[in-house]
Amino acid sequence: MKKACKRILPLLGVGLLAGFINGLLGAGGGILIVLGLRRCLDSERINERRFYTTALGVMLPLSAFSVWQYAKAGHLAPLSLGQFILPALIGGAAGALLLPHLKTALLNRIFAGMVLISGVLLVM
Amino acid sequence: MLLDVLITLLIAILSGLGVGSAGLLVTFLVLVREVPQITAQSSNLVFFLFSSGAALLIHMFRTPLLGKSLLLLIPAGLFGSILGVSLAGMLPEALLRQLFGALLILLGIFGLLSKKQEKNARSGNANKEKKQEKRKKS
Repeated sequence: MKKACKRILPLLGVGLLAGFINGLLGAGGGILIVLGLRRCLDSERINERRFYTTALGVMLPLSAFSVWQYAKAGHLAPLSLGQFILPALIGGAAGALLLPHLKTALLNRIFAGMVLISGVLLVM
Repeated sequence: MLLDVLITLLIAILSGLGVGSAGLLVTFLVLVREVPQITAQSSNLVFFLFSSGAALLIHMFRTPLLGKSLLLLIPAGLFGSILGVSLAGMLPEALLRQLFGALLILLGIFGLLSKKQEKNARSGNANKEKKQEKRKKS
């Protein structure tokens, strides 16, 4: 019981924070979920990939909910099917299919660098 | 238009690979297409729904979700989302953009520094898998 409580409160906190960031900034909640799961659960026994998949499973309903709230507040612009939605579907599926065949370590590094530069450009 | 398609496709592939999308689409929409920050954020969320929705359907066949954790994380996250969106609507555009930029900087630094941890996790998983295979054989 004590062990369960040690996990429940931190996970609730992680969920709350991830949802808050997701709602406030429209991005970034997923990594919090992964980090939270790593800290709260037995990461020795659980395959790392389950953390990432679970993070996706959490962020999808949260993002859908955030989209609904943005739409209610009048901040949602209609996205073109051809320009954004179809490429998003195709790209997401393609990436998932490619994952077992690629070593993503270098990609992760390049991506982190791109994200850092993007952040600097936005802050300037 | 072709640029929009290519950029979206590339970011979606990264997202599907599990590398992440971390709001790169927001950066593109704000800096290149001059979309207001809050509108770009909502567009990013829609993008995420489609790119990661497609990826999750495929990932779930190979990697099961941690169901009990979902039951805790999702309700708490929904409440957090209400607070976050409410605050986003109240903040000035410039501040929201800077906060978003700061988030990307943090994520970028974390991503660059956490490679060792990820490498350990991956080698740990490889060892776990080897042990499991040995157990099955014996």
